[in-house]
Amino acid sequence: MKIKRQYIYAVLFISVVIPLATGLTFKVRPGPPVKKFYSAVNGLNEGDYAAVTLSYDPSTKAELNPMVIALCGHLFSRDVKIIMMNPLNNSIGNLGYELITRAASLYGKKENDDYYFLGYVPGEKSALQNMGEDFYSVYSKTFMKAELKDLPLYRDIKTIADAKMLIDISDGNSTVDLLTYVNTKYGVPMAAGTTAIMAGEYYTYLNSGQLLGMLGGLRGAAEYETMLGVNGKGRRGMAAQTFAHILVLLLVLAGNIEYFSGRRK
Amino acid sequence: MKRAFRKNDTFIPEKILKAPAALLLILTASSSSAAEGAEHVLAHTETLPYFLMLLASFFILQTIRIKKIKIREIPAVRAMEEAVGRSTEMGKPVLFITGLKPIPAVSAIAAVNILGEVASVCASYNTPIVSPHSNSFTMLAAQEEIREAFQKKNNFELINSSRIFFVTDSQFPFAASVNSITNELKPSAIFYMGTFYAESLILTEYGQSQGAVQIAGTDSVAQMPFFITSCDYLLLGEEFFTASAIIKNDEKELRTIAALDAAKIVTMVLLVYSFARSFL
Amino acid sequence: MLIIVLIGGILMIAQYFLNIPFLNSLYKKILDWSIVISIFALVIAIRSLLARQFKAIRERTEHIVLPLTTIVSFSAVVIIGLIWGVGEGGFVDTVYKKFLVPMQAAIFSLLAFYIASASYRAFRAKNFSSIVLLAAASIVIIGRIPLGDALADMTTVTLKSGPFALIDFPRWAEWILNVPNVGIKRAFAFGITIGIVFTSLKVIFGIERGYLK
Repeated sequence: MKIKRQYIYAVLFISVVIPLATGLTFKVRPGPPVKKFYSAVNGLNEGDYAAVTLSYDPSTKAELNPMVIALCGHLFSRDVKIIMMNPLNNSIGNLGYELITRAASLYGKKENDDYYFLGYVPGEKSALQNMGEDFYSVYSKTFMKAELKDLPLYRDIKTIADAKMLIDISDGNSTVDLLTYVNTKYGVPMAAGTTAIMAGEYYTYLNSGQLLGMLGGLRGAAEYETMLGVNGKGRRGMAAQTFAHILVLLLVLAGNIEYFSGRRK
Repeated sequence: MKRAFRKNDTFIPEKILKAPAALLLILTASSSSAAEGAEHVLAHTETLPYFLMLLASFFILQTIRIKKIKIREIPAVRAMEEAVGRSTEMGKPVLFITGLKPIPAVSAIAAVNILGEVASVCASYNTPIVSPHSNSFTMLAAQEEIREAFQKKNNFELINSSRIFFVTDSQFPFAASVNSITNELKPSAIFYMGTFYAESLILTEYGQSQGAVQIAGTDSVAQMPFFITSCDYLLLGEEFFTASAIIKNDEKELRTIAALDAAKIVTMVLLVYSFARSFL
Repeated sequence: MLIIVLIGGILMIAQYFLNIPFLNSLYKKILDWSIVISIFALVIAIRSLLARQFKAIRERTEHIVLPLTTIVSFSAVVIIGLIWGVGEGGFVDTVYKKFLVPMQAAIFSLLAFYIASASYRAFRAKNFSSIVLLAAASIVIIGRIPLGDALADMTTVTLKSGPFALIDFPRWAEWILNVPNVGIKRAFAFGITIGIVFTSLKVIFGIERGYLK
């Protein structure tokens, strides 16, 4: 007997919605990529600058926003200054600004002093290259139109190489561009957070040491939240993911039972 | 055997090509030692010898004469004509998607080349081809490619550039509109050629549910598992860049494939060498 | 045209390997030009989009409401954006955040449903390689959820060298992702990169001209 698509979709919907609605959480054990990510961020000192690039479309925010929130919290708790920008994606600006502002208010951090949100500038790869020579030839104003030359950032950061670390949160290939144009060329250490689909791709760079650490998908966010001791959307989403994964396994099993029983006939 | 480069057939004559080939060999041999002393003029010195080696294999295989270049059969390439034939039998159009990266990305150029070959088969079978795009430059190239293919087969009735159109450049709206077109036209063959991201399974699973034969070709490694799962055939990795050359069966193009294989052998030797050196 | 491509291609390769200021600044100029050119792509795109919608209305197709929606929403966003701007909190920003973002996320979430139906249909243990694939996939699926962690905790025994989990899906999944996955990805990366380099060389040296039409 063949299971109809509609039934599969209905069961999946239920198995995702119920855990999300009940707020069920499970314990997750952090794996090596996340542990590396955590210790790389922990290696930053008070007053250091960390550049965070958001390179994802709002459509993948469910998977990636928990990472950004946890990362901002981690950086702020260590009094690291954040330069957040989205030079490789022009649609995440407003959402990114909201995220960092919310995180900053929890830690009592001030805009344009403890953190800077610079938004998008056209140019993509050429913008990245120019950041390595003169940061202010790319960005002259913040996202909220404050002149950068009047801000403390102007004194501390001349080029992107003055940032102690670059963290890219992405849903595509942008991390590879940043590795090529910023990490290799200007030697800024890099770590990344990415969707579960892209995580498999980035193990290559993690393995070669080009990435100091990686958060892969919602699981990565949940592991990171566990290490930070917070109960964010990543951990809450893990229950839904657990049921969905078990359902997929059951479907694979059902498919095979159907296949073998069909063959025997 | 025919002359490798006929008159008016190539941009650079063979004799001139021989000179850079020889020069490149010398440069490759000397570049690693020369690079050390010339770092003020040279950038990316660590990749330069490898790049020169790739260039050398490209030029050398363009100039030396190989009697017959035999290419292994690629199922996806063989299936293309069958898929168009199936569409003709069922009286349905062929749907061709060129991915999200626009021209001048190499994947888009490769996709448009394959589109030309598929259009040529469509023209001989008298089957219309529909192609929604996420970039207008790729769309223009596709329109011209299809027009030329149909003109060559003297099939003027089916030349209709309104079948090759732009929808949107946003990823998921693009996926939604392609699925809506699939739903409306019920094509019996769908081609996915180019760079795809997370929308790949959304497109191909829907196409599969509509009963279409699906052939894909991509350079997005992360999406290959999705294409394998829901498509009938897939051009894996560099097969995607060589498919149009294989269909054309043109000697010049086949030489490039031979050069690609030579470059891969060079790469493998280098990998083994550096692996062995790490133990010394 | 071919000569422009040839010279341009060689100069762009040269700028990567040579530290000549003129070439570097030329490269940046060309990148700026490409941004300008991409704006023209938008003009052609809008023309193609609207022409198709108007054609559908003229021909009174079955789903006439779809082209009408496209035209009305397109014009509304353009006109209101031109008059009142596109800044934070404005109409266009609200439309973007409250309509477009949730709709895009909804389409993305369809992926989960399609993965479920694809796993039911396609994951069959037909031969040896598909059995290997199935086993690897199952290990990664369990290894990426808390169930895997729970199983590992339950089966942990203490050896001389320290605690050791007998059924440790997360560690096995990590190994699969780190070793076979990376090996295969690198092999593909080499093949694809050489393919890209050679297609670019074909373009630069005029063997490949399809894009010029």
